Amino acid sequence: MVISIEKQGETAIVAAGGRLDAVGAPELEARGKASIQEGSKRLLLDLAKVEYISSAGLRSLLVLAKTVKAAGGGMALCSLTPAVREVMTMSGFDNILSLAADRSAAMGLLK
Amino acid sequence: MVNTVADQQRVMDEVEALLSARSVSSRRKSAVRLALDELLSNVIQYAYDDGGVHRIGVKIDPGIPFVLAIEDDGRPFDPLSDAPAPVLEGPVEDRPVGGLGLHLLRSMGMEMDYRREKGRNILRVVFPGE
Repeated sequence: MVISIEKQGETAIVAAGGRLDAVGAPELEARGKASIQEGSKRLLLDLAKVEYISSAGLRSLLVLAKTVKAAGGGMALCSLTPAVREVMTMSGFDNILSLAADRSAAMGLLK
Repeated sequence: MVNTVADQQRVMDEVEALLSARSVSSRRKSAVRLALDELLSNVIQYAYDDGGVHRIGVKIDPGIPFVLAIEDDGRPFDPLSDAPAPVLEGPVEDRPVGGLGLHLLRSMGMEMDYRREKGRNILRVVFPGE
């Protein structure tokens, strides 16, 4: 995975690229958890460059959502590719995670 | 291939390259990667107790229908009856982590049939038409 993180106040904007699978997902999970530990209350995951997600990727997204919620914050995802959106819908994750079209819409969800 | 994550990654990449050479659609390639990812991960993680090296057979028939078969000598496991049902409802806090792989494959229209033969699990996955 290629992961870059930019902080805006208490929000960590995490841009991920590559495959969110058994190899990539733990990397994203570790970086997201580190951001929460460093004090970020909100995670905004920009998945525009993620072309593939497996159940391992879903698992890590769920772990991050639980972790940030337990710390009193929230998480939103944006810019999903069609392949990733399809898996979100089939797994029912579109009902439990906040999905937005782009970063500014995701910021709105996190307010 | 053998039962290691490194070998699984190698096989998934090789299969993708082979399918690309046959001009298989990117949607189909993505579905094949997901099937290999979920099913081989299950075998590597859960089928063996002995810590040893095991051969896993992967066969693809890229015809109509498009069929993938995976064969292993691990403990008997019928994904159609032995896998726990996925939990698809409820808030983030209550959702169990995991248990979604097989559900995803079925949701994508893949049909699976399983048989146990001579101490081997044989799982056949038939992909939906395009």
